[in-house]
Amino acid sequence: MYTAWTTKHKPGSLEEVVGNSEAIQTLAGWVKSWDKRIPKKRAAFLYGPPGVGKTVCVEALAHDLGMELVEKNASDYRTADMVKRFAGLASQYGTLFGHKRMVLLDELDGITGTADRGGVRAVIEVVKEAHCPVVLIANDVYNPRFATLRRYCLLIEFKKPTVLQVVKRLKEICRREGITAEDETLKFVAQRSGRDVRSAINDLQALAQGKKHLTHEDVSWLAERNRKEVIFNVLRTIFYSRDCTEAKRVLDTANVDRDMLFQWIYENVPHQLTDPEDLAKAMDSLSLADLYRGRIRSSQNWSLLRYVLDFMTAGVAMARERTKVGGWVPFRFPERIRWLSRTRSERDMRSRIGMKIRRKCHVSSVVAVKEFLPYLRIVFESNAGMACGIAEWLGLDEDMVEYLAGGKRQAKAIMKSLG
Amino acid sequence: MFNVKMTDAKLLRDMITAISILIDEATFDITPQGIKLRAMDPSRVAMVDFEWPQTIFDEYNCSEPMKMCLNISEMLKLLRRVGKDESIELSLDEKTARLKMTIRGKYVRTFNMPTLEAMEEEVPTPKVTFKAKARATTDGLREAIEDASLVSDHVRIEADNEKMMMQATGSLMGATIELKKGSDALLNLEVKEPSKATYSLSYLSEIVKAASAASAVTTLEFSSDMPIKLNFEQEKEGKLTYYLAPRIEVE
Repeated sequence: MYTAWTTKHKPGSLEEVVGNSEAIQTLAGWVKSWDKRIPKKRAAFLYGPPGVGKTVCVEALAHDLGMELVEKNASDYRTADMVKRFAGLASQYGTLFGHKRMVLLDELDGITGTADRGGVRAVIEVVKEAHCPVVLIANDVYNPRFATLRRYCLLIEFKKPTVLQVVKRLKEICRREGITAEDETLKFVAQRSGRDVRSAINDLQALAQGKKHLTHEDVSWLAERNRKEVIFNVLRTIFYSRDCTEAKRVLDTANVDRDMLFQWIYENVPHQLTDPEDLAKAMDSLSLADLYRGRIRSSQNWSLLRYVLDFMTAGVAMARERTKVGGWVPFRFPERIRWLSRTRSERDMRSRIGMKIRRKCHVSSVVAVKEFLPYLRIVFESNAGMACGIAEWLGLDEDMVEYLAGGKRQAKAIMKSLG
Repeated sequence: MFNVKMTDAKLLRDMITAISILIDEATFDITPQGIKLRAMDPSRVAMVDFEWPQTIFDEYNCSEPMKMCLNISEMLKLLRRVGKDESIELSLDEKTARLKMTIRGKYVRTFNMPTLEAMEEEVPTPKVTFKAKARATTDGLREAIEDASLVSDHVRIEADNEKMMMQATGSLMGATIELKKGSDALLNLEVKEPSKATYSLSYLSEIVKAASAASAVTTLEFSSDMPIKLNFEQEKEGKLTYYLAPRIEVE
């Protein structure tokens, strides 16, 4: 039967976990401190790149301490209700078999990806009220949605292990599987995986299963994995790179929306480049990028895209001359994106009314919203009779009337005379 | 081969309702002697232990032991359509791995649903020495628990030689419920050692509510800060027992 080696050779105890000994110490110390009293931070938040052993470490720790581990992936608890039902109960009640319990909420990144925002809030509630250790796991702890949650958690970073540590683990697995392999070969696998233990083991299985001996030829075709870099890594490269090519290339390795990235850079430039001259230069580059963005939009000439990208990456990267690199400046979420999502329903409403006006007055809906709407508002707010006539003529529905009237009572009056 | 027949389909509906409180997917152990299920809820604070001997069915055919995993919530959707005086037949088609369900009443309808891959996890019975044991009418217990649910989501149950008390404290209100020994609701009480422990009301109320359809008398057994065992006595043969873990008390 086929079993993944990552499952088959999963570390049973902490001693087998690769690397991160410091993080493991911190975590184990925190879990043990529950025996004395409930620590100030009732949750530990493990974060770090994929495949470095976050989940495995928690499972091994629970095993070593003889605790019952109740674990769930974000896919299992998409809504606030499910979080409360599962994690709330598990973290406040004991076990049926007299062990101590530890609750693990894995892949927390997934919870923010879904439409349901209450999910993270529900996790915070659970953490505040927890009566047993709660461990949270995510790749990106600095996702703005975790901002509040972070305050209640002991943050523990898991780093990529060294190539040598990965090799050691691969060797151990080869020994158990009865495969011989040279150190150089395994080193190559470890390097190509980008020090991601899970994918290194998966690669090893794909290449070596069924063989007695693994040669360098077997592995040489392994392509370098271009890991999707999260937006923070992209920003980091753009702001700290001293090399045009590097700043430009980061876009190729990252799967991020270009317009979104523009907003991110725009929002963060003033915080990253504190020297006024540097800031001015960066803003100049961004304005040029924006200019070309506008031209693309109006002419649909996408060959101009390369200039947009060069200005917003390399241009910004080269702006740093006087600002010293030093200290950690957190990246901020773009205000504009936040604002757009906050005002979406209102903008929708305005453009729907604009469409109605467009049809009757033979103007574009943009002009209608800009020039007609303000006057309509005044009419609707102060003269119900006249508003009634206009509403009927334009064919506005109840929601639109209410929006224009700026209140339920006035809207009712208008709707009443409408009949 | 597995097929059964029951004249009273409501019995099956009530039992599946009671099981559905804790789990979405259930792996039934089916043997020539009867049907068994033991499973824990996803948060692992509650467990259901259910058993129906083959004599409960009017017809029961099972050639060899097997496991059958069903999506309980989906099955319940179908069973909700069961009315008074209707009979039900279940039969498993092993080739297609689907369960056929025929309900006969004023007219005949046949549903079929897929079975799922059975889970292999064996759930042991919790080993607890219970110090307090109470026998209560299921309705009386349900009323008491519903009262407590009004103010909080957990309840402390205390028992001594004379009475059993339930205390719920919410953020705004509190409730105290007293069941005296020999009262209409509390039929019997044996206490070796005064005990008290706190349990989840959301589970307690749902469990007792669902089980009250299938049982008139409940036996509660518990000890201080230990799990509680609720045994719902069945009119015919069979067993429906729940275990609930205690709340971890702080300060």
